[in-house]
Order: sequence, then structure tokens, then C-alpha cells
Amino acid sequence: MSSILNCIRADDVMATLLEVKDLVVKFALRGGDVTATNGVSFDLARGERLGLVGESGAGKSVTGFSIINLISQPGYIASGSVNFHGENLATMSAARLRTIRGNRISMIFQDPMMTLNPVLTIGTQMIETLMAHNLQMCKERARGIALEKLRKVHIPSPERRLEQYPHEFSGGMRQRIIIAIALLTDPELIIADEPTTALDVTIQAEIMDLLIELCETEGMGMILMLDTCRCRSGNWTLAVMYLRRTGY
Amino acid sequence: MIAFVIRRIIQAFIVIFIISVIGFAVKQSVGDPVREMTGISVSAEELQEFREKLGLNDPWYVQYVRFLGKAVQGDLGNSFFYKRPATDVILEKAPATLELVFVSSLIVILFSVPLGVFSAIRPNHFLSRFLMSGSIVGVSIPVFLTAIMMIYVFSVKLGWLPSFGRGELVMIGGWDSGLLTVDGWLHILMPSVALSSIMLPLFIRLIRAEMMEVLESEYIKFAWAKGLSNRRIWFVHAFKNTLLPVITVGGVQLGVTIAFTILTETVFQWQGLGFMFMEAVERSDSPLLVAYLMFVGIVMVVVNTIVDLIYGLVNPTIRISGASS
Ligand SMILES: Nc1ncnc2c1ncn2[C@@H]1O[C@H](COP(=O)(O)OP(=O)(O)OP(=O)(O)O)[C@@H](O)[C@H]1O
Ligand SMILES: [Mg+2]
Repeated sequence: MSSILNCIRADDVMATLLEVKDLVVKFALRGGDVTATNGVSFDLARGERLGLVGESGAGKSVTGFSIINLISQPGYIASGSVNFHGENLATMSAARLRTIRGNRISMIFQDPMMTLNPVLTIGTQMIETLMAHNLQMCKERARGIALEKLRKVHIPSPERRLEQYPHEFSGGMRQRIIIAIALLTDPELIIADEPTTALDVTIQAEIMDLLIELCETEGMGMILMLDTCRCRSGNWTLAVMYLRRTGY
Repeated sequence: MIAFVIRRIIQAFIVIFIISVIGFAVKQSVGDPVREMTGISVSAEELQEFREKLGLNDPWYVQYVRFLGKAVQGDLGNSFFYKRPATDVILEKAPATLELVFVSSLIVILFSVPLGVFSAIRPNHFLSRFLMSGSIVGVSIPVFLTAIMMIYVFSVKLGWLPSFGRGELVMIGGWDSGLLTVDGWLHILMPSVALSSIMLPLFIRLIRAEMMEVLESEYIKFAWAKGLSNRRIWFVHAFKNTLLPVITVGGVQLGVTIAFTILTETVFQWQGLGFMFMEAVERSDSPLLVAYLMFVGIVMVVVNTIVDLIYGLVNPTIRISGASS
């Protein structure tokens, strides 16, 4: 399996935020290694938005997870580098990596029904993120920030919602909450892996618009994985991932 | 939550009702109480009269209601051997067994949780591999063999621990406790370890398997993506979810533990319900057997109801809807 990435740059003048170079991710399976991505490369400037489009199985999720060095076993980064502000995340120590994950790079997963811990309240899951990245952060202040972000994603009566558990929310609301969690620490980069494919068609556009709008107003960099090209407005760079043959 | 509690309590009463039917059936089918009371030198007419007086010729449902009415008041008849109410004998022997089950459950919890969690988060560590192979050996050695081997090593060869009895007891409010003296603890150590020798390896494996499954889930991956510490992910995010199935199995396994007390108490001559049960079987003391059955049944129901309520506290989906997800 080999996937090649075509990168059509919009403009390359700004300072580089993220530089992915010849990323090869393999899965060590019983019958031998399986290559999930074979030489993915792209650059992202500060505040730049990149749409990563590719069919199912093209390696979008694997690429997203490998940026924050979080590929599930038995996957591993075989070669290549992921430079974030010039530091290679692929070889960084676990402790240092933890200060970047969820703090400077946030990720939004594909399926909001599976992403939140069922036995912890929304409040707990938001506050812990803030407290993990700022030792001076007290619970009260973290709560305040959580409420502010919930309002940003249009969750009504967030004070009450903070005490509730994931099963008390619809899929669309859960994805809003996950977006709010991703925004908590005002990251420099958000990786959104098909954030609406698991949702009802009726709310897909709504969530996508919200996400893009927030990224634009906050000036965050973004990598958005999509199965089909749907980016309409704004300043987008587009990259296409596909398997086996060059096309497009 | 309140609806859930009420429903669980109603269910508990239904189960207790079923247990009482079984107890009644055993009572009806085991032994003839008139024969037991009168001996053989009684004429057939006198016997018939006696049966009439005791109500033994009434339809079974009338007898059942009488049985239930008495049972509710704690009257399950007199033990043939002790010549005392069976309930009194049960209550006198119960503390020994309950303490034994309590201490061995404590051993299971204190060891299975850290060892199960450890072998889940460090599956390739040599200790985890040792635990996995060791636990298979542990599960497959019968309790009585473990007990006899322990007595041989620690009592006969080393002379460290007493091999039988409960040791020095302290009476508090009708409860004979061996847990308030050093001697009592020395005596309970081997029986409780022997009793936990099946459950402990089972629970280490269960906790490990559940925890490993939870660690694979998307929400754990998301917790890593949020940059949380290992400790928080393992002990808050993963462990709480691991607990749910473990609690359920724990409630069921407690029944198995009570069954194993019969073996353990016999080997260690532990004067509890299990020991009493074996004696009652040998002496065909049917009222005592029925009383034992009822008592153990009720303890099981109470414990399982408590376990379910704890489950409800840990699992937030129960709290609102009153139904598990
Ligand atoms: N756990 C795994 N074990 C083995 N191979 C895997 C595993 N996860 C992913 N892969 C491989 O990596 C390739 C890319 O998978 P990935 O999940 O990144 O696809 P995707 O582009 O996100 O697709 P989708 O649109 O369906 O989410 C797959 O074709 C598969 O061969
Ligand atoms: Mg994917």
C-alpha cells in the first residue's frame, strides 16, 4: 500500500507551524508490517487551514494521530518527522509530548459518541484538561473557562450541563462539547478528523460551520480531514490523499 | 436513582420469596418430623392424631403459609441435634463464617486491584507474565489442597500459624469476633487465604482483561490526546470503567465463596456455618439444613442488592433512567 500526497499550496510566506516530512506509519501485524501511510509531507503556517481529503482507508486518521504521536498499538512511525516549531514530535520524550498534546495541539475525533468518558461528568472532563496543563490553574478558574467555551459552541445553560454525563447529550451536542474541549487551552493547531461523518446529515453542516468559524475568529491553525471536498469559503490549502494510484 | 433502589429492593423480596419456597420444599421432602419427634414405639392412630395436631395433613399451601409466617418471625423449627431453635444455632455460628468471608474478600480486593491494574498497564513486564501464568496455576489448585498444603508448611513444618479453630475471641453485642485480637488474626490468616485462593487469581485476570479492553477505547485515546498524566488516565479514566463489570461479577462470585467456606471450614475446623452444615448433613438435621439454606440465600440477596446499588453509584447511566445502558 502506498499513499502519495499532492500538496497544492495556497501561499507560503508565513512562519512554519508544522512541517510533516516523509511520514511513514506502519502497523506491525502478525503477517508482517502493513504500511498505513507512505511518505506524507506537508507544511502548515501559523493560522493556516489545511483540508486533507481522501477516500476511506487513505490514511487520514493515521496521519492525524501520528502528528501528536498517538498511533494505537501495533502502529508506529517507521520514518519521517513531524516538526512543530522546529521540534520533532516523533522522537520527543513522553513528558514533553504531554505538554503539547491537548495544550498546543488539540484533536477532535471522528465519532463523538465514543470520545467522551461515560462515567465522568462533562465538567470533570473539561476542568482536568485545563489543570493538566497549568499547575497554577484552580478549579474555579478552570470552571469559568469551561463555561466560556461551552457558550462559544452554543450549549444552552452550560452551568447545569457541566454537571451532566455524556449519555445525557445528543451526538451533535457531544461534538460541540468536544470542540469546546479542544478550544479550552487556546491551541495553536486543531486537528479535526472527519468531525461530522458520524453525525446526522441535518446537523453536519451546522457543526462544520461552527468549527470553521471558531478557528477563523480565534486565528488557529487547522487540519481538517474530509472524505469529500466540501470546503467552500475562506483561505484554505487543500491536500489530497489517495491510495494505490495517482489521480485527480 | 430512587426508582432504581425501590426496584432492586422489590426484586430482592421476590428472590427471598423463591428461596422460602425452596426451603419449604426441602423441609417437606427431607425426613418425617413426627418420626423424629416420637420415635418408633408409637401406634399408627396416635401418629395420625399427632400429624393432625401439627397440621401436617393440611394442604401444602396452608402449611407453606404457616411455614412462612413462622419464618418471618425467625422461627425455622428446632435443630434435632442441638435441641434448640435452628435460627439461634445459625446466628451463633454466623459470625465465624461472615468474618472468614469478609477477610478473604478483603484479601481479594487488596491484591487483585493493584495486581490486575499493573498487569494491564504493563502487559510485557515480567511480573505481569508471572501473574498471568501463576494465576492459572492458582485457579486450578483445589481449595482443600491449598488448605492442606498451607497447614503442612506453616503449622506442621514451620510452626508459625495455628492449624485449626478461631483462637481468642471477643464478644461484642452477641457477635463473637476474632478480628480484635492478634491471636484471632493468626487463626484467620490461613483459612481466609485458602478461601481466596480461587477468587484472587480469577479477579486479577478479570480486572486485567477488563482494564486492557477499556485502555483500547476511543475515550482513553482522547484522554491521551488531551495530554493528561498517566496516573489520571489509568486510575480515574480507565479504572472507573473497569470497575463496572468487576462489581457485577464480584457480587456473583461472593456466592461461590460462601460455597467454598464449607470446604475451608471443614479443613481448618473453623466453627462456622460451613462446618455446621457438614455436621448437619451427617446427622440428617433437616431443620438446621433448611435454616442454613434460608440464611445463606438471604445473605446472598442482601449482598447482591448492595452490590447493585454500588454499581448504580458508579454507573451514571443508571442514575437517571433507572435502567442500565
Ligand atoms: N489498527 C490497525 N491495524 C492495522 N492496520 C491499520 C490499523 N489502523 C489503520 N490501519 C491501516 O491504515 C490505513 C489508513 O487508515 P485510516 O484510519 O487512517 O483511514 P482514514 O483515511 O481515516 O479512513 P476513514 O475515512 O474510514 O476514517 C488503513 O487502510 C489500514 O490499512
Ligand atoms: Mg479516519
